Amino acid sequence: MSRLELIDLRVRYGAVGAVRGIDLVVESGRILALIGPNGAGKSTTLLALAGACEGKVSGRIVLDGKDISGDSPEKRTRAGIALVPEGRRIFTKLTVEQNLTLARAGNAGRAEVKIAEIYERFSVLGDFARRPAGLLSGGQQQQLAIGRALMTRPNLLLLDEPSLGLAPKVVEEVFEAVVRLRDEGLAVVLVEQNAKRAAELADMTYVLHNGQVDGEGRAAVGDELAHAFFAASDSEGSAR
Amino acid sequence: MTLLQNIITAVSVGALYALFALGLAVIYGVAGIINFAQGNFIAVAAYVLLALDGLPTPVTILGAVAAGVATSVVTELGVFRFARGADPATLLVLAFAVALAIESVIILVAGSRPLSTPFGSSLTKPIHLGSLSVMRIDLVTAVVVAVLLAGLALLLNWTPIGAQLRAAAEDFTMARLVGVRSNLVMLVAFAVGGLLAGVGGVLLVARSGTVEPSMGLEPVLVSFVAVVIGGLGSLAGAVAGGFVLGGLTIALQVLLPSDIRPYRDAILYALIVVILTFRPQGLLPSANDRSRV
Repeated sequence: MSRLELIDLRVRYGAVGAVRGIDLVVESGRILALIGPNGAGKSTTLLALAGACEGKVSGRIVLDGKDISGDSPEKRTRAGIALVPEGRRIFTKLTVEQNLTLARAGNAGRAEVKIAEIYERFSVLGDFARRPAGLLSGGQQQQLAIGRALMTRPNLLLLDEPSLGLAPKVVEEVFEAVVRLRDEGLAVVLVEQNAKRAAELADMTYVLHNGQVDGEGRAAVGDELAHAFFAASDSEGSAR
Repeated sequence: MTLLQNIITAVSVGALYALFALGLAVIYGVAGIINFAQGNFIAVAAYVLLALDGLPTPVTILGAVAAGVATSVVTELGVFRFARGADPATLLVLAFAVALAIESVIILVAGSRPLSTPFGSSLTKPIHLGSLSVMRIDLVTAVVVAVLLAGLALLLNWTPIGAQLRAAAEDFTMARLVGVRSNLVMLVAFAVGGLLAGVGGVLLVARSGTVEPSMGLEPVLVSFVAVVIGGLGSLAGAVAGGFVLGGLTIALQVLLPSDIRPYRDAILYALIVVILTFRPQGLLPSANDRSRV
């Protein structure tokens, strides 16, 4: 059982406060969705969790009772946090297999993940194992990015815009994979522009606005939140 | 036959440029530092070669190369590690500071005057292959660089640490996010950079027979141009850039009429401006150049 707690997370880029005091908790077997308009602080929150945020971060990040706020990105990965970043950021010049084996570096002390397990989950990666990753399609690259994160055997998976730029059919495949991971006991934090779909998938949904939590709710409520978010966005848009 | 002879010379000169350029590119790719102190690693290796004069040749060579590696690693551990994440301008100024510091130490210990050594004098004699007359040092340089490049290719493509280096060179932050230890890859990158500088220093001394504190400056400037031609941050590009620069240098040397030949370098760099005008990203650019955390 894994539990991540975020206490009063704040991120500043110079004089600008991108995240202004967020508290949240996510546990094993749960998907927590962060939705909100552009610039709400969703991706910044994920980057801060992973230790890859370039802004000034304050607040506490507690993983399984241990404060990891000051840890380096690689130390957090070895502690069980894996980020699938926006834009995938796979290593394009390495083969699919090298991308996966490389991530074993992030698995310290946990049972080693066999590449075959990843190929079983995403069969297309096995078909293209020796191919440079840069030659894969967007959907395949997204699968590789998730597979690479899983190679570290994380307790907590951070997914930033996994549906961005993908065909609807591929998006559903990716979301199905995310739900399977949740059902297998992984804790997932999902940042997603497709707020309605994210709220449907999530066990808990937080709406962020201007770097703060604007609303939160569980499962079915999440759907309503997504609608409320859209309604608010629409009225803001028409007011302009 | 003259053509073949010129090609061998071009390959030899290009190989030396490629060697230095690769050293710069490995460190830039992983650490984001344009390490102008690389020239001083060359000088340190050369002075150690001189200091070990009289010992068996393999010992002097190994000692010189080890000195290049050690100097490079010490600068990472003692200086650059503390500036991790600093902006590129700060790192550049830091590299110049390290370069000046190492040069000052060399002057303090060995003086500022050029020193001569008999090391490698037998290699400056020509070897006759049929009607071909080739300098031995050209052949030795080509062979040594070929072996080093092959070894480096093996390291980068077939070992776990090689994959980590390539990943870090492509996207350093993402590499850290999959668990790659930043301190380890930095150390390996600097060790590789020092190894290439050390070997380059030995080859330079064998070629010229002289050693002086600023002897690494010109190679590092030329190799920086090669790195830019190849594509900043790209390892394959650095090697390609080195060979292109070497090839162009010798081609101009051979083809230019004798009264224009003194302007060879001006014409060479004008050609490079033309290349970079049409291909500003370089010949084999890096996949990306993300900021570092």
